[in-house]
Amino acid sequence: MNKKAFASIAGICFILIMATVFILNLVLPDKTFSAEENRILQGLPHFSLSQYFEGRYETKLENYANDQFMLRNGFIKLKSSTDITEGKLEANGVYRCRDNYLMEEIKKPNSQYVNNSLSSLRQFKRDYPTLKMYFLLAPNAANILSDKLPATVRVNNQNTYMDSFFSNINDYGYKVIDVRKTFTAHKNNTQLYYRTDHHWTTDGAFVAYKKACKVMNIKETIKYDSYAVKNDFRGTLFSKSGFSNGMDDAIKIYLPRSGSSYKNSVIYYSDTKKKTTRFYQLNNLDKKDAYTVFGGSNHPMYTIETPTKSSQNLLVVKDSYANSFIPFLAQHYRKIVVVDPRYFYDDINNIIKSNNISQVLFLYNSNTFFQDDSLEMMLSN
Amino acid sequence: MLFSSIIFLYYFLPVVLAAYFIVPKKHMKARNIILLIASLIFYSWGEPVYVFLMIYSAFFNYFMALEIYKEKRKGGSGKRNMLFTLIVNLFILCFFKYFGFLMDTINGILGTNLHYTALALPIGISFYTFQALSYILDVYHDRTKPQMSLLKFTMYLSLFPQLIAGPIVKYRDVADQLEDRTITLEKFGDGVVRFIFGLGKKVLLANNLGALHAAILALPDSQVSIVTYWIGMIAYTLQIYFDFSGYSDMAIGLGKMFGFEFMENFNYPYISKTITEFWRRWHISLSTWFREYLYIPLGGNRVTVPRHLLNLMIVWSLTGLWHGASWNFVVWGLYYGVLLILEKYVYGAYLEKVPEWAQHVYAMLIVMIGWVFFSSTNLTVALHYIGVLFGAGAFPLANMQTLYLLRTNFILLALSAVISTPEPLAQFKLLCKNMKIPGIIIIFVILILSTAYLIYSSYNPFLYFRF
Repeated sequence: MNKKAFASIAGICFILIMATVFILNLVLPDKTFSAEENRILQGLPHFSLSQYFEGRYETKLENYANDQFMLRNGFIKLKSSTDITEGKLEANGVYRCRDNYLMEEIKKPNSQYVNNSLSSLRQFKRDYPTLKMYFLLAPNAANILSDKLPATVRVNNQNTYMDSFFSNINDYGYKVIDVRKTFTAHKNNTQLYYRTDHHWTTDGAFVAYKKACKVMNIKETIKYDSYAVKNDFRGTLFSKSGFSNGMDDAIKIYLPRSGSSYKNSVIYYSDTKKKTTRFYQLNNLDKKDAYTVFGGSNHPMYTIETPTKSSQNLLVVKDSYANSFIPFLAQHYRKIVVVDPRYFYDDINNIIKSNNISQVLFLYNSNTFFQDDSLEMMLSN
Repeated sequence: MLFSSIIFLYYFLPVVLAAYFIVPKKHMKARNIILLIASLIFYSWGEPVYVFLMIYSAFFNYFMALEIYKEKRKGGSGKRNMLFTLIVNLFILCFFKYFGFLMDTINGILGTNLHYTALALPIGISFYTFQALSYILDVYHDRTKPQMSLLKFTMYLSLFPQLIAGPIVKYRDVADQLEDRTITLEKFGDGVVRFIFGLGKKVLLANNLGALHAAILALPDSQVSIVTYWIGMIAYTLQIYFDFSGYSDMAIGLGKMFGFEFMENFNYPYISKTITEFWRRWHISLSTWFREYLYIPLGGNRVTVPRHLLNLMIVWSLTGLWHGASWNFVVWGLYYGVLLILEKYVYGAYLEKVPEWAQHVYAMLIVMIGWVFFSSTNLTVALHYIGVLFGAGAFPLANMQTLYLLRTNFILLALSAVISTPEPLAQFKLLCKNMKIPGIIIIFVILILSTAYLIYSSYNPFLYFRF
C-alpha cells in the first residue's frame, strides 16, 4: 500500500509541476536581451516546411525553449552553486581563487599571431627610426597573483612568453615598460586587479603609470586623489564563469588634487563625432559593463588635446587596459591619438604624419595581445 | 530529439501526455495514433529525412510478416520470404552503418583508394532493425502471430520511448500491450520516478563524467600521469553506465507513463564477480537478443567444443560490431568472447575459490580496460592509453594535474561509484516506505537540478573580451 501511495503522490506532483511550468513558459513574456549574458535571446521562430526539413527550425525552437525558460537566470545560478559545492574550480576558463578572486586562465600564445606582430613591429620601427617607441605589456592577474590560485591549479607560465617578447622588441629598438616587478612589490598593499573582471584596477593602472613615467622620462607633476564611484561592480569574469563569489569590487577614479597645475583636456571621439572634457563617463556606471566608465565602449580612434607645456604628440596603440591608464598620460602630451587596431581600419601612416606624432606607446595586456592578429593587420596595412 | 533536453522535457512530453490522456481509455486506437504521430515527430526532429527510412522499414516488415504467415498457413515453410526479409533488413543496416567501414577496410587491405561518400547514420537504426528482425523470426518460428494492423506495427517499431537507444523490445513481449494497456496513477507515478532517476543519471552524472574523461583525453603529453589516466578510465566506465542505463531508465519510465512494460536492460553490472555475470547484467536486451536469434540457432553450446568456441567468437565479434562500425568495437567484442571462453573452459572454477573482493577486482579491471577499446577513436590510441595505465612511456605516477582533477571531481566520482551499486536505491525505497515527503523531495530536487544543468548548457555569455 505504502509504495503505491508514494508512486501516486509522485505522479500527481509531476503532473502539477509539468502543467505549471508549461503554462508559465507560455504565459510569461519573452525577453529579447539577456543582460547577464550580453546577447540577444532567441525569439519564437516562424515555422516553415523548408526550415523544418533542414533542421534549422528545430534548432531555433530548442534555443527558444532554453533561452526563454522561466527563471532561466535562477537555474544558471543553481547550476553554478552546485558545481561549487561539488568542488569545481573552473568554468569557461575562469578559476575560482583565494580571497574571492576570479582569474582568467593564462592562454598559450598563438605563435603565428605573435610572430606576425613581431615582424610588423620590427618593420614599423624601421619605417620610423626617429620616433621613440615604447611597449607596455601588462601581466594578467593569474601571473602576478599566482599565489591566490587554488593550490592544485597550474596555469601556463606567462613570464616566459613575456620575456621572450620583450627581448625581441628590445632588439628592434623599442623601450620596454615592464611593470611586473613593481606590481609584485605592490600586490600586498594595493588591489591591482578587479576580483570579478579581467582588467587591472585604476590603482593598478596608476602603479603602471608611475613605472611608465620612469621609462618614458616623464616627470609626475600632478597629485591625484582616488574616489570610489561604484561599490558593487561585477565584471566580465563574473559573467563568463557564472561563479557568484560574493564579493563586489569598487571602481575608482582619480581626480587631481585641488591646487595642482592640472590642465583640462578636450577629447574628440572620431567615430561618434563627440567632443567632451570628461575622461570618466559616470552614467555608464549603472550599465552591465561598468568598466565602460573609462572612456565608454570601444572607439576605433580618439584624440586628446591638452594645453600642456610639452610639445610632444603621442600615438597610443592599445587594448582596453589602456582605458583607465590614458587619463594620466594626458598631462604630459599636447596631443594624444589613441587607436584600437581591432576596430581601426584607416591608414596609420597618415595619422602619424598629419598629427605630427613624435612618440608611440603600445599598451596591451598579455592575454589579449598574445591572441591578437589585428596589430599586424594595422601596421602592415 | 533527446530526452535530456528542455524541449522534450517541458514542451514535447507535456503536450503528448495531455493529448494522450484527454482521449478516453476506450478509444485505444486514437491513443495509438497519438503515440505514432508523437513518435514520428520525435524521430524526425532535427533530421527529418531518415524518418522515411524507418517508415519504409515498418511497412516492409509488416507486409513480409503477413506474407510469411500466409505461406505457412498454406502449408509452405515461408523460409525464402523469411531469408529475403532478413537480407533486406541487414542490407539496409549495413548500407547505412557499415558501408564506410567496409570501404576503409577494403582500402586498407588491398591498398586501393576507392572513394565513397560517408552517410550520416540514421538514429536508432541498429535498435529498430533488431526489433524488426526479432518480429520476423518470431513470426517465422510461430512464436507470435503477425500484427494485422499496420498502425499498431508502425507504432511498435517507432515507439519514441525506446526508439533511439533501447531497450530492444521484442514484438512478442509487447504484442498484448499494443492492443490494450492499463494505466493507473500508481503505474504512472512509478514511471515518473523511474524517468527522473534516469534523467538524473544522464544529466547530472554521465554528462559531467564525460566532461572529465574528455578533459583527460585532451591533456598534452607533458601533463599526463598514470593516475590521471586511471581516473579517466574510471570516469568513462561510470559515464557509459549512467549514460546508457539512464537512457534505459528514462525509456522504461516513459513507457510506464503510457502504460507499457518494457524489459529491464541493466541490473547493476558493476557489482559482477565474473565476466559471465557482467554480461547477464549489462545491456540485457541486446545480449538476450543475440542469444536467442544468433547463438542458439548456431547450435549454442550443444555442439562440439571447437564448434562452440566458433559460435561464441561469431556472436561476440558481431556484438562488438553492432556497437559501432570500427575495428576497435570488433576487438572489444572478441576480447569478451575470449574472456568468456576462458571463464567457461579454463579458470572459471578456480575463480570461484578466490576471495570475493578479488573476483570483483578481476571483473572490474577487465570491464574497465574493455571500455578503453570502446572509447578510443582507433586501436592505436587504445593501446597507447592502456600502455600508459601500466607504466609504459615514462609518465609520472601522478602530478599536480592529477591532484587538481581529484580535488575538483572527487565528489562526482565517489557519488557515481556508490550509485552504481544497488544500495542507494534500496535505501531510497526503504525511506519512501516510512516517510513519503523526503522521498518526493529527493525526486524533484533531481528534476530541478537536471533542469538547471540542461539550461546551463545554453549559457553562452557573449562578452566584449576583445575590448
